[in-house]
Amino acid sequence: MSENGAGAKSSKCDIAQKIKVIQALIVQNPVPLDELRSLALSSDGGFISNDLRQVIWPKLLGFNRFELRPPFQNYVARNQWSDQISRDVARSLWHYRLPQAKKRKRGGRRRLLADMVNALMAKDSTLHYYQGLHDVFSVFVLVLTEDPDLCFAVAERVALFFMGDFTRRSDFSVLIPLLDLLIPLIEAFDADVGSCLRACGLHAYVCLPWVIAWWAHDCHDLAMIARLFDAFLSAPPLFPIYVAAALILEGKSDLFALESRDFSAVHRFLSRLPSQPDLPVEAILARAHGMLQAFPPAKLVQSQGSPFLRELARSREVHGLNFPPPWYQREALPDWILLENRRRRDKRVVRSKHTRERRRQAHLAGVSMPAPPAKSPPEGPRAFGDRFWTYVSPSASFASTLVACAALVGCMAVILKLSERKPTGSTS
Amino acid sequence: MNAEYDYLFKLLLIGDSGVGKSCLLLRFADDTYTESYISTIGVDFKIRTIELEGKTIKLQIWDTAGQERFRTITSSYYRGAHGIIVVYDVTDQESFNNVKQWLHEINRYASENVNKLLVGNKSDLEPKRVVSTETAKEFADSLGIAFLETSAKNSTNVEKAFLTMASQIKARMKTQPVGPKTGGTKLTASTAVGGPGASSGCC
Repeated sequence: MSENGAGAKSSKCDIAQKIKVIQALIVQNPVPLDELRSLALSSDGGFISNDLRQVIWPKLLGFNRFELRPPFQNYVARNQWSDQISRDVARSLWHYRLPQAKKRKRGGRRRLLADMVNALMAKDSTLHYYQGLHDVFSVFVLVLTEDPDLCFAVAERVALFFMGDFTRRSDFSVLIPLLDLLIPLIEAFDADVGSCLRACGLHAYVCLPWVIAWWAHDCHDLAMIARLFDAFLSAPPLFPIYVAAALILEGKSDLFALESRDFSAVHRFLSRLPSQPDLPVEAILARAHGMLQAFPPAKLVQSQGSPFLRELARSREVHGLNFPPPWYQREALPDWILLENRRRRDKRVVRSKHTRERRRQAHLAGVSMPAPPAKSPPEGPRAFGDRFWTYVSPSASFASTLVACAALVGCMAVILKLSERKPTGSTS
Repeated sequence: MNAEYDYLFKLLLIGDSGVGKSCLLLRFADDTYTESYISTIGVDFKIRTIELEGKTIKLQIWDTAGQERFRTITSSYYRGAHGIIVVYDVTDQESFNNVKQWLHEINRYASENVNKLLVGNKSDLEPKRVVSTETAKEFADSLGIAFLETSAKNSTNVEKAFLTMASQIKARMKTQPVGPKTGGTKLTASTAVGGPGASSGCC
């Protein structure tokens, strides 16, 4: 019992330490992306918190999260996939074990999710939606909750690049031979498991949802999925196949303990592996990373791929092998420089102490305030009360307060004079 | 030797996305219904053992993704199936129109004498119905296929649908027995017509 307590305490310390390490990395100029990538692949917990993911994921994907224009909602439009999307979105966001507060927001999240998928499909009509892409997007909706445009930008890059072999084709003609690599990959590291899978006639279709939906369809723990996403965003697009192989190898003892090892029993066992609550995700990722280094994708395809896949690879038609992509960076600017650059570019006026204070109060109260125009504010119809309180408020200038007071005194003097004259009039 | 059952029948559920295939299976295998079901990606199966005419029959029922682009994958599971249930949604005309295509898939990929059953699901949504029982019945009769309307939600006819399928297969098996000792037809992707390698090459 006490050991457990000590363990929990030390792991909390570890997490705090890791957060400090990551925070120190992301304020460096330049941010060492390679270091962050290796941290995602080899360190417990990946990027740990969603706040850090909000900063790091866009950098890994090579874009500036402060320059996302136009708003993605501009692209939302009905498209050939809209019916399928709405059917899938209506059945989404159920299976994650979320706190009650998050569950209550499901309706709004679903609308955002549907808008994101529809915007992507309408923006590029050559893309092909598949069931499972919405599951990937739903993770971005739940993790990157602060900014829908950032959420869309990340999702778009993932759909176009990491899922390019599925979204850029009308069928799964590249996915199927890629899945065929799974058993040879397993065999290369564990001949016993490989021959067990071959003996029962298993096809890697059982791993299909893992690979096309990055475990978001099968795993019910959002924190675990976000952790996996840290690794997927830091690795080549074929990495999920290595994770699938590592997951099966991690389950070896349970696989060999099965009463019957026929096709259906093994299929059933494997299909339920990702939904285990105590999935050893760090061990799986570490093993997968080791396999990736020992047997890189290009070598795997070349030595174990079908002639059809090798031919596609030769003609550079396998998106998953076109790595690194043009946007891939080893270093990036930290957020504080990106913000500084934006301020400089927008030639923002330096705000007065009062304005800053007002904006701070508004921000604390949850009111979003638009940036004030640089010169005189436009005249709009305002209530007299508004104007009056503007004149007499402490934030207004001293001169305008004096004018308002003088006007008040003047009015009062006139009223007094009139009231003095009235009674005399009535008596005469 | 496996004495748990006399027969092992492998059934397959196919049909458009969102017609309620997974809900039908959940109702039959676990006798539950949930509005919060997630879409099926790829294939999965559930098992239920039934008693029929004094025999114990183990039903292994495979559920498939409905989206068209998954057909290359799901079709490789047709070959080993003893019975295939084509499901449409009585509130969705398009899903009924597509039944012809699904039957075409069966003719293309399944064994020649596979048993077929047409099921119109969501019969509880009477105000929203667009496919009449008569239309569907006529269509099924013209093809010589058994037909039932079901509701996974209130469990109307769900049991009957699977039992009808099982008894049809059993009747057929009297002439071509398939039991646990012989293993029956193996439902594996690798035994399929136009298996994964071949299909990927021709796509």
